Amino acid sequence: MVALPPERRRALFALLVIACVGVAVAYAARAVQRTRASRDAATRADTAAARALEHTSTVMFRNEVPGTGWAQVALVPVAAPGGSRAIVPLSCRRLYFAGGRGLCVGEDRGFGLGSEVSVFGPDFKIQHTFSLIGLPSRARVSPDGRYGATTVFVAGHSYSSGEFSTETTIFDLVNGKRLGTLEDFSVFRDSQPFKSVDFNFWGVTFAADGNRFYATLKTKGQTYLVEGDLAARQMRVLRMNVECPSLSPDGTRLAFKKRTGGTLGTVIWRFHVLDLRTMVETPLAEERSIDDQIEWLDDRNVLYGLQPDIWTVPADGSGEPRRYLSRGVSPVVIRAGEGETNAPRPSTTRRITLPAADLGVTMSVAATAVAVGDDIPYTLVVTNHGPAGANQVAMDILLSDRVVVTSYAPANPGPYGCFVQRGYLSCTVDRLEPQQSWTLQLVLKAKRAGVLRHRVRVSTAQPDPVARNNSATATVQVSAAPRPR
Amino acid sequence: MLAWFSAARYHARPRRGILYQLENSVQLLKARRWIPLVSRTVIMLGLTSLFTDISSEMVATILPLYLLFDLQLSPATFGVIDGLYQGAAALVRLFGGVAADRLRRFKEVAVVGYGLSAVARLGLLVVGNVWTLLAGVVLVDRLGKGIRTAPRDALISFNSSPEELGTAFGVHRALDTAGAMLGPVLAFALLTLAPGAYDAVFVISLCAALIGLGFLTLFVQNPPEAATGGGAAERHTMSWSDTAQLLRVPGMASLVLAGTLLSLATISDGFLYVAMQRRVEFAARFFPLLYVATAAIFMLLAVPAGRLADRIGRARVFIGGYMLLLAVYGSLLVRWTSPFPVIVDLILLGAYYAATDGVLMALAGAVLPPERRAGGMALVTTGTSLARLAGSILFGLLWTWRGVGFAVAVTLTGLSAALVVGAVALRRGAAEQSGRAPA
Repeated sequence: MVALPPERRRALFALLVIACVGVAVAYAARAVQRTRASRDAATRADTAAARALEHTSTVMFRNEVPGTGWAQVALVPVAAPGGSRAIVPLSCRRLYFAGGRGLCVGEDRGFGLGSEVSVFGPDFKIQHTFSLIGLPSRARVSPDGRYGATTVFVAGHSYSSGEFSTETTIFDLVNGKRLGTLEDFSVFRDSQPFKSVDFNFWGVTFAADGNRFYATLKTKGQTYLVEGDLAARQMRVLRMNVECPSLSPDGTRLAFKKRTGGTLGTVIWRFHVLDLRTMVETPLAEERSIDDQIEWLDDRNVLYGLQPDIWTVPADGSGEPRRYLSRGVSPVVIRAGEGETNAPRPSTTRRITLPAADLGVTMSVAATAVAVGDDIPYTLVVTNHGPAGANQVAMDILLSDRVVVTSYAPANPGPYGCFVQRGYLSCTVDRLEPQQSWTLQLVLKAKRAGVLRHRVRVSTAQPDPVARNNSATATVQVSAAPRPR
Repeated sequence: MLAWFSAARYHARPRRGILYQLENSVQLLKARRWIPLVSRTVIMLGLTSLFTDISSEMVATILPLYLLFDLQLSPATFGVIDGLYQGAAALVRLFGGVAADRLRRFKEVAVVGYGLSAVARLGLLVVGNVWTLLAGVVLVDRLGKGIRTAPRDALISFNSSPEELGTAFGVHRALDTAGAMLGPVLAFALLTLAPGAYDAVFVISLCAALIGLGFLTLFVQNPPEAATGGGAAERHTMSWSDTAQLLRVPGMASLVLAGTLLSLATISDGFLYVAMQRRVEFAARFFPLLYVATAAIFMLLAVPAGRLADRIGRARVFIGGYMLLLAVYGSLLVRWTSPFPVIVDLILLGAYYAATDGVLMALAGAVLPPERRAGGMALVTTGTSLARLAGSILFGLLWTWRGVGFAVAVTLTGLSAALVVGAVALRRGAAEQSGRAPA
């Protein structure tokens, strides 16, 4: 330590405090300003819009567009998910709606310890509230609107020590009563009672009769699919390695996540669909590992959340995943024809229309034929064709397992940048103004011979009216022999 | 063998700490004008902790929300990070303490610890959602926490006269707790005004950490060589066997035993609040209030408890604190007809912290010779923090196995037994020690 005279120390300290406080205040002010700014003219109270939703199938979800309506319930027609959203002033981390009753597991201000559960009717008036210990994970309502199930993680702040556990509670939504947790139910395996202190349950899905349900049971590191009977307070084990089941509208199939790999601290899941008649499992085309409980869009397609968006993929293993709507989580599909009285009829809504930004991406490669070990330079250009500025612009490049990433430049400044995870190279910039372009120079190196086909997808928080220019591909022929130099 | 020899040597040495206190008395008198009995360095260390706690508690309170909802980490991954958060500090405590003793550089080792945590704040801003990097950042933060605690507490003890150790630690803990209260309030206020602005929380947290570091680097100095045992330290090696010799310091083994046993029979605050919530159902949004209330009582009572400890005996106040905790556990076993017991329990809980947290370090400061001060303090806190962690896991298991009533009853029984053993051990320790030098 250099010996400084006391006056110098005091002066130095004053400088440090001024600099630190200055930066802190500026940053906080900017964050608050950002929130205020997005409360823009695009939001206005609108009751006619809510009426228009009554006779169509709708998707209800938690809106994640910053600004007014952030974290609140949003409704869009199934047919036009990118259109304007009717916002209901109700904040939920997780939500579900069926048979005229909704379940909202609320924003918690409980230092990560507690959640509040509200039951609401088609008019979004709160009918009952409960308090739960833990962080909200899943919420489901039986198709007849009679029962609800929530799963919370019991974790966080001096509460757990490394190990997480879950608690699944069943509610009588009509009478506003807790029917207990699934730990209170008896479990049978091969007709024998099955019991262990480390039982954890999560991810309930109800059958059409409202009494039968499916859920996940975990004990001794193994997950099981259980089929339950609410009235009898019983469950029986059906199958291994099934998490977060979700029953199809026709009741014939279960979509779920299946653990396919992972080590300490990481689990790799793949979405599968189990046909309950043949017991055949089909992997879906979504190859990313996603932790969500699937919601069926219809009998042929499913929805799921992958922060910050909601995605869709065919339920039969064909096709490829597609972004369904931007900036939303916890989707629930409310099908028209379930009965007029049960359709959501919010009395007050605001309408937000996300300003659209049409992004286009191109991908070119300098050499179309290279040898193993050569650098392959790609140029990726994202352009915002407007009309609005685009926030949180992301490029995702699915990397072949036959390449290694040599470099990417210019690595855009800011807190996010590029990173490689789960086989994707993902790069983000905070904002792209209309007509502005963003170029990424990417250099890959081929490890093995063959045809390399790389595809880039671009996305933004704004709705993108033109979908076909949101991805681009580049093909390179890699030969085995190193080229003579 | 060598280690044993050196341990035997220093028993014969006169304690030098008193001399230093006399030299320093002018400074002490000067400080007396605005806060009685406590040196300026202790205040500076308190302010360091205050700002560092603002910083770390801001992040700690929002981390579960950020990891699970913003980054969408799976609970299993979250569990690993949370486990690191809880356990990592314990691993390096001893290292930090022994290194500080050995190098005679308490301030510098503390600076490394506080600095690591500041660097971790920066890390949170840049790593994005790659969970391995996030785990690394959390690890660095907690390693920093583990390293700094013992050298800092040793500095507090060197800058206080032996008869006022309890007060000094009380003042430090009051400032420290003030920071722990302010941090979450700041974080939640900001997130209410600007939902989802985690980056702003991290930046402000970094700023607070830097100010804390500024107090330490600019206004705290190492005590003179003579006060810290001087040459005696060079004869110690940084080895396990040498560290184990710490237990041979008169009074030390009893202190570690009492501290560890009593910590093993405690229930973590999170569990306690949940248990209270099950007795009288209150909404989950009141949980922050429970934390704040406990911390506020702790903050208010830390100095009075420290002064009381200096006057009537530290061991007495320490044991008394655990008796308050016993009363809290007892109350969980009887029927509650109103929410009134919650208030009483929170006051008792805050008073328990005030009577035990700083006082334990004051006890250690009085027992340990200057040249082994930081290492010894680290040994005590390693024991108590590991025991606390084990106790918390045990309580969780008992709860899952037989329900909350059973778990509380077992803990209550354990705590009663630990109190008896602890009281006897501390009495014996005091007797051992008075055979050597008056504390």
